[in-house]
Amino acid sequence: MNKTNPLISRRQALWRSGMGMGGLGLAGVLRSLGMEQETETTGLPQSPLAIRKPHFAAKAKRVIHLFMNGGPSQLDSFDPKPLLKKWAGKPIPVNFRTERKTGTAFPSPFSFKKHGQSGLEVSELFPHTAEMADELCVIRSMQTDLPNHEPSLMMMNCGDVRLVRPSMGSWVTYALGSENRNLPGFVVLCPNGYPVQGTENWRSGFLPGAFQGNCIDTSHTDVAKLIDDIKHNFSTPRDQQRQLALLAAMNRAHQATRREDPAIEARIQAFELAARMQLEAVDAFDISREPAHIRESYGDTVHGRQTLIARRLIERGVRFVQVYHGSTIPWDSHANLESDHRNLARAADQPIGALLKDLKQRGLLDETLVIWGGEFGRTPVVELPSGGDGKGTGRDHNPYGFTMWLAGGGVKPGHIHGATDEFGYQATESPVHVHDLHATMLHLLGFDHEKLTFRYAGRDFRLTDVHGKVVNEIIA
Amino acid sequence: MRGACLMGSVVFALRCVNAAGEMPLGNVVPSAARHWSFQAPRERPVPVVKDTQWPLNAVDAFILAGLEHEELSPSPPADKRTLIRRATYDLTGLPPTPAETDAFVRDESPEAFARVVDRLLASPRYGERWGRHWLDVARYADTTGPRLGRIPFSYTYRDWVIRAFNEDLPYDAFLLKQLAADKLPGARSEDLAALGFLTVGRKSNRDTIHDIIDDWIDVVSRGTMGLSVNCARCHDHKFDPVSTQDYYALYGVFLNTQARQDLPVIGSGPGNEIDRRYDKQIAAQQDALLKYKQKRLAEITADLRKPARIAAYLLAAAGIRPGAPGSGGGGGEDEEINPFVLRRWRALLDRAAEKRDPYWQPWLSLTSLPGQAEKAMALGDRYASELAAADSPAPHTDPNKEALRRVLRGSEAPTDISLDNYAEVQNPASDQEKLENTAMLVNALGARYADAGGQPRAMAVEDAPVLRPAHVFLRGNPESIGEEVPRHFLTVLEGGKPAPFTEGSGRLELARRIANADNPLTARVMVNRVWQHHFGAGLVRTPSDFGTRGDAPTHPELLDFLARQFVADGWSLKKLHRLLMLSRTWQQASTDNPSCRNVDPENRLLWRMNRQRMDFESFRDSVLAVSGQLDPTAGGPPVPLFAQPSMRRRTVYGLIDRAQLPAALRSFDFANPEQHSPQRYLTTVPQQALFLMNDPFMAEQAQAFATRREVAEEQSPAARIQVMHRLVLGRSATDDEQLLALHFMAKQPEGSDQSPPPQTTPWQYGFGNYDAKSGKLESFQPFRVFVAANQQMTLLASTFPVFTEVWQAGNMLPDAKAGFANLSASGGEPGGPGYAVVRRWVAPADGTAQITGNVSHKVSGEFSDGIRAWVVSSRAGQLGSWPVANKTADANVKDVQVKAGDTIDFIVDCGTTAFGDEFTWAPVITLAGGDRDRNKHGTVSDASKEFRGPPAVMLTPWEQFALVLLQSNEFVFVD
Repeated sequence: MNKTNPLISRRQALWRSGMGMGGLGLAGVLRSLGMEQETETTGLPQSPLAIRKPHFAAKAKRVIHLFMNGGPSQLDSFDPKPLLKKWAGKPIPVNFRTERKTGTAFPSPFSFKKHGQSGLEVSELFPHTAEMADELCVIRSMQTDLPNHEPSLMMMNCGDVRLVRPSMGSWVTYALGSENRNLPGFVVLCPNGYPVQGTENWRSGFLPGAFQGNCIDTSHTDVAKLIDDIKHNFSTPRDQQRQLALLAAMNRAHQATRREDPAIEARIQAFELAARMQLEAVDAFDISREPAHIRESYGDTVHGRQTLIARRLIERGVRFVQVYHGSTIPWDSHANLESDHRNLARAADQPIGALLKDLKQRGLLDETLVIWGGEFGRTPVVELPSGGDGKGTGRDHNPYGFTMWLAGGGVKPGHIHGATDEFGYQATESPVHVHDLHATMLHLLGFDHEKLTFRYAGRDFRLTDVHGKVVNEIIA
Repeated sequence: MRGACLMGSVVFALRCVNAAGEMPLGNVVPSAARHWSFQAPRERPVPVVKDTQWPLNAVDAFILAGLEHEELSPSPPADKRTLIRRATYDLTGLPPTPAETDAFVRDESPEAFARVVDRLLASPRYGERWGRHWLDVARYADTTGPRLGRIPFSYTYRDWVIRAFNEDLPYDAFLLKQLAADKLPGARSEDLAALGFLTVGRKSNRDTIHDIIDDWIDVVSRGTMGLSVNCARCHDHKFDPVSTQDYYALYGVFLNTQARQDLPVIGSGPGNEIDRRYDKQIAAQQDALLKYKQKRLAEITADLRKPARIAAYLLAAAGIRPGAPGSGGGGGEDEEINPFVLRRWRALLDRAAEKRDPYWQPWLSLTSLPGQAEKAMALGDRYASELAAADSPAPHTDPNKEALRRVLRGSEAPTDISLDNYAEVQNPASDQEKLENTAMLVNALGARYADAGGQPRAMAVEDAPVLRPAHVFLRGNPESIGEEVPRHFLTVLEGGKPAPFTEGSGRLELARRIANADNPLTARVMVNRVWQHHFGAGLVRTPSDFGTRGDAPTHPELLDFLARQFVADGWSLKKLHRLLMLSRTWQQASTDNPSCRNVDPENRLLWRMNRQRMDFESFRDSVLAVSGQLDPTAGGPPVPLFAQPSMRRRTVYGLIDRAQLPAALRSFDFANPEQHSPQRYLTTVPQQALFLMNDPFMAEQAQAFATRREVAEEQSPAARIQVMHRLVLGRSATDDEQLLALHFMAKQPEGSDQSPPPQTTPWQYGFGNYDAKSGKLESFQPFRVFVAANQQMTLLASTFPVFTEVWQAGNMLPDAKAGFANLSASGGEPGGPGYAVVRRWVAPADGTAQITGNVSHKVSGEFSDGIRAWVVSSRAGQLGSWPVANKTADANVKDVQVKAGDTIDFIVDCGTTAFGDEFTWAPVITLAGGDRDRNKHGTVSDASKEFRGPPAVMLTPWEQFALVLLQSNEFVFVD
């Protein structure tokens, strides 16, 4: 029998009886990692979202992932390859297996310019983002395993191309809890439907359901449609207060002979939190409360609105916000890349530039890690239209080398890491696999990715599985 | 992209290694084989205890011995009200009725409680409760997961499980049937439904056969034996004595097990019209798919016989591929080397080398030398053109030429691919999409058929007609084939010498080894699961991990005793429940005892009963029971859980959608059906409270509860409060509570009413019979039910299934009369003839209306004869008519004069048949002119944006009181 010091065991007992009984031993796992909640007054004594300490002190506290799903072209955004002009229309000497049939070199139709003190090169597609060039840490040597959307979205989100694994947002929320118990800890914003692979992109897998992403269709402007059951429709607010007061009185009387049971206290507090959540969630999603100049800077578009919501959520302590460009795979420019990428970037760029500026001005950028990118990049060679002699106008998928950028959260600003070959096909210098990105993200949040584990089916699982190296070169 | 199937490749190797650990080498850990759970449960003498008065049965002696060892004492017995509430929840997931409670309290005979237990065990509600526990184990759901939609006959498995519990089917037979009902002598057609245990698993469009087998191995090994075998997919298990040999021995069993395409009808009733139509349509789909595969296979193999492709494969087989420079950019399908075909080329060359085939000698000797790439390319081209020249579908008479022809044709030829291997060579993009679309369509058709009342069918499996040997996949990579493994059971459970299975796939032999008293795990794992549900925590607290990494049992002797007793009792679960519930241990109070808690804060020794919180199903079902609304109908196709008015069936009959688990299920810790679920989490989050405070289900039930007969017929408020208390909490209200409640009810809210302005909408939704000749809509009836997320599969083979809010005629879709008639924000679907759907707009003011929109129907002619759409004004009659079949039409009407209160109906009917008639049509009406119009551009009514559910009701003070009672901790916690 484990006879522990009663003073120490009290908090442990809270966890054990709360989470361990009848449920999996989350408490035990957290405890073994030294991840106890910080204080009992921050919220529910056994809430899965209670704030937990990282393994070590870290700058980044929250993450915004701007997911350009479909795969934006690195060659037309942040990885200029002037050599492609010389090879235009000719076969290039670099050859990889692609999803579809490809042809000759396809130089970027867009011009690049150096920006800021850092002289970072950004294409004309991203003028607003370019204004914040000195904040960006561009990784030009990203790699993933496969040239298909579904497995690559799974890799980017869950660290595995196919097996049922929790998403990174779930891992981060499991690791750190959330600073705002009145909102979900992990929020996914996506207008008009789901990305490819649907809810699996933000699943909690074997982690408790409380860590799963809450997906919100940002095409709605009505807050009541954004979060389930957030609005009380059946009586007046005053009546609802009276109901809650009566409930609290009954619950306190019931609790009088059950004081030792943290689950009972937790459920009492859950109602108090829910009542606050009704107000706070409405507030968080109501961008009309922003001053006009802020709203204008993001733009009155669905992308402007959802990016501004992302900032409002982060500001309120939500741990992980993932913003999808749109449903399915909007950035998948197999054809008409010039006009498609131009339109896509026009929608995405202004809100992104505004977000970076806004976070910076509010002093939030330092502790917010912003991640931008797709599930893979695109080929430097043209994709040939199937069944015809037509001239290609797009690029195929490219998992061999692509670009993502990070900003804030303790990464080197105005920095470029790694490089692709001279055509921009494959990462040749300091390749960074998605597993490495995950390891680095966890490091920036204060975690050793090898020690952030969860015991399931007899094994300690982690986001990076058995892979992942922290990319120290990009850490400030 | 072939890579999609290659995913289990190199990276896989390291995959299952423990996070902190090194790569395991060699064979399985020898000491692990001596782990307690691999030893047979021993006969354990009932311990001698000091307090001989306390134990009522052997369970108590084991528990008391543990307590006495720590100098702890058990808690006093729970009072009778607590006891019957606990028992009723444990066995049925429902509250006892006040009458049942009173009867038990009055019954002072010594057998009173045993009688309660027997009554509950005999109730059909028992199987619904305990069947659901097993469905967690079986990762049950009604949809596949992403993309592929409904599993049409999933419910037949669910109902079989529930029935098995109710009938107390011995647990060994329960397992045997779920694994091998098709192979059991004398099995009945209804038993085949048990095989859903395998087939209700998650499937995604990207799964390979290996993934499906992996899922089957996992649910079988963790579900029945608490043993995680899947780590051994890539390497020997690091901690448990499970080798890759073992994994692939089981893999071989399931490789030779296939889901039946023709789902067998359960029972023998005559088929009806629905059955015949289903059979015809499914057969047509399967036939079309077969023809498609045959056509594609002919194209693919013709391509593989081209000289350039032969040369490419020869070079690839020799490890030489021509350099890319100048070869024309990235490779597409044409340039790709297919690993399966490559393997066959390699096999051919290996055979040639073995036989010293003179024809291949030049090639073999050249390519055995290093640095001969250029020469090899030239020689490869020569072979290729020679072989291609000799190619012909018909045999040659010249024996030499015929020998050449046989290289490319015949069962062993690398370029002659049989239909069985179609998946290996298909185009992973376009061909795969065709497969997926067909699968989606077949699932959607099946779901329609099942929901519409077609005969139940079993999601059965059968042995493959031709058995295939299984090989170890080195590091889990199916392209990297190791030695052949005979099908057999786990080595550690076979005394180190597994006997190969000999009957077909070996599935029945596997089942017999699992469902066996000699298996040291099976009985232990199940008694532990049962213990866990009764006591809130298992004797082993990792219920699906009895391996070396799992928790040790708190009471190993008791676990052995129970496992043996279970087997001795003929694997009867009902006897096991009785044994546990009639123990004094289970009947203890759950009240605190600080001195015990200090020593044993987790209550591992059971010095008291654990208080439990209801899971979501118990909670929802109990609310329905208390409100008097519970519909006890058992079985049948799943119903959507979240609708207005609510579905009143038990939660176990609700539709479980893997791809989109409803938020309420998720926040209440429902078992994630993506994988086997060992036990539920228990979290407390504000979203749970939000559901109780704001969900329409709660408001509706509070209304029903406050107005149910037993409550309403009480005249005095005090008496009414008493009845409500008894119904919810199983006890009377105290004086204080009564006072508090009276005070709550009496005091009306002060000040101005802060209620939101009532929602007004110009739109109504319903159905009726439209007579196009007279232009009259007969008998418009509003739809009665609003479903929050309509999880019906659409027949539109769009990229993703659409989940929308819909209005429909009754709780079930299809409705007995109105069929599939429904309307959503963007469109809808008509019912059968005479059941047109009607989206009605009521003019809010006088003026001139402009109507725009387009009607779209996109189901091909093989399923649907299309729809007919009309716009009809109550003032001017029919304004437009648009018959649409697999196309889109503009449905615009200009300058319609309306007076306030006029209606404009947007009507769609099915034409002559009602199948495949989903449509989209969300008209926009711009109304200008009239006195009240202040906007010169007019007021816009957008059918899509203004789509609404039913208006909210306002609860009376009594209903609010009812709501609070249903929210209370005392209701939700079971002492």
